[in-house]
Amino acid sequence: MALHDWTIADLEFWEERIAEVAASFGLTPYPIEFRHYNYEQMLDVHAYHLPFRYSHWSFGKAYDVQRTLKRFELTSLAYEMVVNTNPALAFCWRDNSLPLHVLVMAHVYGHSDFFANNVWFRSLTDAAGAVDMFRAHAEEIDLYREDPSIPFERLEKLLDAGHALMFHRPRIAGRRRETHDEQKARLIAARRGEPGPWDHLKPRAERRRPPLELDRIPLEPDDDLLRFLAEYAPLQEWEKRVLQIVAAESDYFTPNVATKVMNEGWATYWHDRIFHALPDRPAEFDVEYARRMAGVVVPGTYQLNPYHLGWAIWKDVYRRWEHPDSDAPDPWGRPGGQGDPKLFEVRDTEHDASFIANYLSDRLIAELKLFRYRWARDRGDEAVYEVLDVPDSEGYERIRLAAAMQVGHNLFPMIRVVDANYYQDRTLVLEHVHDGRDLKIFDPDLPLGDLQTILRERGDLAGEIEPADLAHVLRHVAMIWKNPVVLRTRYDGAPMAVRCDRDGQIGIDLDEGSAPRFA
Amino acid sequence: MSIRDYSRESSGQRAGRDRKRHRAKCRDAIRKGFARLVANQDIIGTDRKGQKASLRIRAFPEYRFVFGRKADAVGAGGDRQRGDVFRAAKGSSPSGAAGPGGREPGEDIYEIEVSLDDIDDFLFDDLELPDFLAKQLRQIPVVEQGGMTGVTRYGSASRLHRRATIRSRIRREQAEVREGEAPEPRFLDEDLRFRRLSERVRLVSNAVLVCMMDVSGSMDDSKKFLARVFFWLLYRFVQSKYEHADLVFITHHATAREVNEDEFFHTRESGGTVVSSAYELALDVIHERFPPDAWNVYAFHISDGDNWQDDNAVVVAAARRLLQCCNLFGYGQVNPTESFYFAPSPSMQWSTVFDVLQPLEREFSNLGFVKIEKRDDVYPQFRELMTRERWKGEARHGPA
Repeated sequence: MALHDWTIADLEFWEERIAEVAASFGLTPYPIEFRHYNYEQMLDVHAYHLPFRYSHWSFGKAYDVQRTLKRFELTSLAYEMVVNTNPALAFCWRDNSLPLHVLVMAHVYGHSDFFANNVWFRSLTDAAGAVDMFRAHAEEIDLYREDPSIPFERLEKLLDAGHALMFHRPRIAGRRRETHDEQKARLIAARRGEPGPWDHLKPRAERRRPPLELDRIPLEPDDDLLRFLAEYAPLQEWEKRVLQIVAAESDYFTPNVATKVMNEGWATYWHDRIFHALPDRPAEFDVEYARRMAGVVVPGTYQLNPYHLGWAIWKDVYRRWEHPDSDAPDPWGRPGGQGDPKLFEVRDTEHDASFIANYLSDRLIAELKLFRYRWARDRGDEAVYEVLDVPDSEGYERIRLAAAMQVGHNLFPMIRVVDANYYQDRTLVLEHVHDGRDLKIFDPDLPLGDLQTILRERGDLAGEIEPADLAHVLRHVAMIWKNPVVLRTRYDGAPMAVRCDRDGQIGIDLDEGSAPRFA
Repeated sequence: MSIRDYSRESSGQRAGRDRKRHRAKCRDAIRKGFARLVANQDIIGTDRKGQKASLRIRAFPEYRFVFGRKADAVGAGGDRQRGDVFRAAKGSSPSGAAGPGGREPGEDIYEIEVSLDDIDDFLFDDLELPDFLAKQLRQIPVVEQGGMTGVTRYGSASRLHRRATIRSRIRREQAEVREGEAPEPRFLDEDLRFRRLSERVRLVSNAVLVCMMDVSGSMDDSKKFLARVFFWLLYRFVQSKYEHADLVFITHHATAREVNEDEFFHTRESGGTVVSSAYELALDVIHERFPPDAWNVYAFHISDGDNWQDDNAVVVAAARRLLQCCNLFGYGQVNPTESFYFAPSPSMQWSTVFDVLQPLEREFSNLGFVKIEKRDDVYPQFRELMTRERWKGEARHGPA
């Protein structure tokens, strides 16, 4: 009856060996529960990421988009999915072949080891309580859904808004959110002359600070948008709970986002080592393995494939610390033979951006032929991109930096709340912390000069260009805040502010004094 | 450690509910944004009833703060030099999912199935035939096949009534025995009996849409495309309201001729423009093949406004006769802004066909005008035409 020629007993046999080999290498994963799913169940768990989650249309969308992509064979069904729980839950596609199942199990051991040891997962998530948390959240949202006094539209809009902001999370692992009073006490203490922890490093002029404004909200810029809104927006209790739920789930997924390259690379690196250390494996395993592995670790042409990049860096780290003299004399005179301890140290402490900044070596950049490029101009219906850096002595550092900006938290602009009562009319001011990359504010994404020309000639931008997605996000925020919202940023080097009024009207300040409006 | 097969258990999740909700949101968006979608050639041209069209549409957007396209990206492979360039279609970053923006909206394509009836529903949902026009529906009797009733001696083999056939053979044999003859022990032609089909007479209303278009040199492809979208809408609308809708295509420059659909949209001829030639031909076609007392006639003419001045008086006369026999006679002027052709000088603009026909508006309430400049105008203009207040008023000079 089964489509496959293996039994659960076969898999148990191989899993036992994988566990032994993994332990002998020093991996310390959570215990793992493998669940075999059919096609629809796999799509399902990929959409929701967990076997139980609250209901929202975006998960249904994820399901249908995946299904469409698969139908047109633009992507294949992922072989597995693991979630960071204790015991780890691993969802495997039932119809995988035996060698593929073995590969997948070894891969899952790698992920589980990473979940159990990396500082981001350890400090931000509670693996043992995760399943219960998601279930409790799902039940709570369902309660609100069924509550006749709560309009469904309102619940859905709140979730939409929560999802729009869910990636704007604090970027420091394990920092506890201070209450307003704690924050105030800290600031006052600092002002009273008790030295702050880093004061001795600062120049004297900087230590003189402007007077404290203790009635200001927030006291310091707040990068946790969801929790800020839950605390200060004029919301009912259940509405605050919805935002807090989204924030809590987002915290749970933040480590995944922050360590995607490391994590996928780690699992790939270890399934490779474990597989080749499996004793007495049949020859056909190796053939199937080689075929699958070739499909997984393909370098992307215009994007970085996290599996491939991560895998390549881990291999390189191992090489450099195990055999440091193989390419060039080691400037630090390291003894070598430190491959595995180094791997574990990096696994424990880094996240993607630091991983790439610290461990993507010049040699590896050259080997992978990485290059930095950027949009240059439009030509008819096509956009032209220009290669800016190639692997050479000038290019290495810039390519490395650009790669570090493509991963983890750097995928998302950093937005924080700086004032909740600007103009004394409860205008909420958000600040985009500009890191050299402009936000997409307009559609099309015209240079500032063109915008000013249009503005001069027509006196209005409406009709020519549209505000981009950003306008919708601001409307989400304004819907929660119930008062105007202003986002401050820089565009083409000039300061710019985007304003969303109570009624959802979007205005953009290009220069001082001119505020073209969009409907 | 444990391995368990869950594939035959019902999964705990409920994607069904959320998928349904997402689809509902998408359908809603389609409904609102159909003006753009309708200008998509993929839909136009499918016209069989009940047919499903798979639209690949953008999934409902989830908005985020994203970076603009001027941010750096990193690629891998190939021996490249600084300053090398490569291209990608506008709007899709070559880096796809891992691009500077992190997420590319272009990735979120998914397929939604809508039937053409749904499309009609999206388009004409709240549109009824204009009251005044609806009163004029001409009904003609049509003979239809009904169910099977009774038995007959003649018919096709597929409707053979076996029980009746055997019964008639037995009856014939018994009669022959009684007559003292040796019965013929086989089926004869005279034994065969067939089920009889009943006929039903029903009143149905038929419509014909007469499409007239200027194909002189100045009507370039972009103008014709707008005309085509408009005609398609009109056709779907007429078809959705009538049992049967026929199409007649007439092109004209200095002379008019009846063409097929393909030619209609793809020929371009040079020469002057004599609009009356098309109206005269339309009148001939209507009177020969679609007598107005049996057909609901819709005539629509699209041009870029140019006409030979001496023809104007003839145009008015012909248009008057058309208005008298049509449920609706419309004139549309397309002036795509992106057209490369010279627009007539400002003083000349609308100086011919529109100006010539406009006075008739006071006289006939079944005359309609539209002006189309770009894709996005088509659907609003169409709606505007169909919901025009004066349709609802009392007709002063309706069609005969």
